[in-house]
Amino acid sequence: MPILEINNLTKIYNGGVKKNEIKALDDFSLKIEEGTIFGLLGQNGAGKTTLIKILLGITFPTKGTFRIFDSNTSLEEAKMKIGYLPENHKFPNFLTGNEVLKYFGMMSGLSGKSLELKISEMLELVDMTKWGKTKVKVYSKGMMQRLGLAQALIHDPQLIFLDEPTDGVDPIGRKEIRNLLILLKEKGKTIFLNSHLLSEVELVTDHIAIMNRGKLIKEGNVLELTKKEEVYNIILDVNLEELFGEHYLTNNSLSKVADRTYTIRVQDSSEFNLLIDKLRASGVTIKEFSQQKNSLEDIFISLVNEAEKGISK
Amino acid sequence: MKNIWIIILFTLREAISRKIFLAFAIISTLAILGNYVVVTLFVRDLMRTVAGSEQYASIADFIVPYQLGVISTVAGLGIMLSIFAASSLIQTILEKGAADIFLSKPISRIELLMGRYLGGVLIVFINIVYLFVGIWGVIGLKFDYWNFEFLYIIPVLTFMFAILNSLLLFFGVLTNGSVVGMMSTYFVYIILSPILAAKDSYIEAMSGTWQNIIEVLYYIIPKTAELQNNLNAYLIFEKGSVNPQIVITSLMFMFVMLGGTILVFRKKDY
Ligand SMILES: Nc1ncnc2c1ncn2[C@@H]1O[C@H](COP(=O)(O)OP(=O)(O)OP(=O)(O)O)[C@@H](O)[C@H]1O
Ligand SMILES: [Mg+2]
Repeated sequence: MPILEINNLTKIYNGGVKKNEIKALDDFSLKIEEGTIFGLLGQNGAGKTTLIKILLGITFPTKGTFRIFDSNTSLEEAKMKIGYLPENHKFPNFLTGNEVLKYFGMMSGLSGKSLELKISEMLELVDMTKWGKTKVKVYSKGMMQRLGLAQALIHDPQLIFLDEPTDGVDPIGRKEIRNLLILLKEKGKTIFLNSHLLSEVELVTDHIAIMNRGKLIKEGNVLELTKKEEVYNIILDVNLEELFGEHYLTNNSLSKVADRTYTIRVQDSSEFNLLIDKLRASGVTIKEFSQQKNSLEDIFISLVNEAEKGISK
Repeated sequence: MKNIWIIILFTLREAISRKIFLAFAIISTLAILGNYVVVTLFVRDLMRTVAGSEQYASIADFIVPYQLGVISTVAGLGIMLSIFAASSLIQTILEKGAADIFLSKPISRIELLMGRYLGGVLIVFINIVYLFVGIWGVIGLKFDYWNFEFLYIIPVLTFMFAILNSLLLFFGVLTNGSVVGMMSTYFVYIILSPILAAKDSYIEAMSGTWQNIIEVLYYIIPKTAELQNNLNAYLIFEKGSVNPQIVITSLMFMFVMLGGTILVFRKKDY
């Protein structure tokens, strides 16, 4: 059973006044399996944040329903097992990092000694130990983000919503956060990620959905979406045409892209394997080969453009 | 219940950081010291003059009027400062960027609201206790006159603030800001309530429609002016009488405001 199931959610802001109405979500449905890292992609204003806010009861849907965990878990109970890092969050600026974790930890049901332990563990996790006693009003953007992440994880939630988690974080910090997400996944947590950084999303997510103007336009496994059928790159230790002549390339659907580097276009992977056997039999050393992929960015841009064209028609 | 308590603790923490307690403590200490000066230097002589001779029978004869005077000046000041200090409390949790975090926690919206409301009342209560126990203590030490009834001012003022705080909260949630709440609360406390309390002295001269408006308003608007004057005079000095109606209608106003706030807040988008 999916851990999260969204059925036909519609959200209209400023409903009632026709000309000010904003349809942030439009009949949006989605299922998310437990233990996956899920990425929700979309342009600015596509409705990503609105969706998360509805799931957490911060905003209310105009139409539609959703279920988190099992159907008899109330939203209040579910929130005990949910962590959330909002975008552009603002902690009360009179608190120190430690106190932020203390009060929000208490609100999530922690107390006493175990809370204290969790606070230092979390600060350690996001590399903020030495800032714990400093008021958050002097924190930099990236530090706020790290503390936000600590706050989201302090009660060891099962389901974690992260809205632009690497926003404002430096490259090293980003890598650390990616590693953290993978670690959480290994522990069986489900992660719901909103992001614009497609190259990053590509590195960690299993499943993605792309939305445009409140509508779901594509959903699927990242590997499957980005796979370009049957084109491989292959790097050898020799130039084949020098060894066997030009006709060898055309006979085997090879094309040269650089010195000792070729691409091969085939019907299916057995054909590719046959070529490998043939090369190996002739004593050619294969240094590297890989299947060509579309970047997630390519896919995203083409899908969104297509959707936009559909709307303007 | 536990969640409300966590929010109350958080609110106290905020009051400490924002130097609300410090500011109150300084002002209250000044008031207590001022009271000490007045009491030691003038009160006895002044009251003797007023009484016209040596004829006052007991210490109470001059202390009680003095205490009444203290209440009518210091209490008003205390309430106005309290409104000012409490007006921005709701914003801390509902402003952009903060609301998302608070509302995502496993705390119901009602608990969040009540924690903030009660936290505000508790802050004011603590400050009122310090101020009036201080003033009362100085008088007591000076004259060895300990009328515990004077301390009734503490629950009465706390009650008055609780009523006004419900108005602050209502507008705070409705407008997502503190200005409207603060203005309307001051308006009710300083202008509307005293005017309505004195209605008997002018209502005869008005046209019928206006008389009706004033009468209706009189029962709707909380009677902070009467609570402050009549109720205290009655409880502390056993002077005059108090119509229970002023307590009941004021309480009703408070509950309607709190209920209204919950109603608005329950389904509001953040
Ligand atoms: N409180 C609100 N009142 C009115 N309109 C809103 C509100 N919040 C969001 N919107 C509108 O809803 C739409 C979706 O906004 P949302 O914040 O969900 O987008 P997003 O996909 O998260 O964008 P971004 O990538 O910029 O964070 C936008 O057009 C936005 O203007
Ligand atoms: Mg967003």
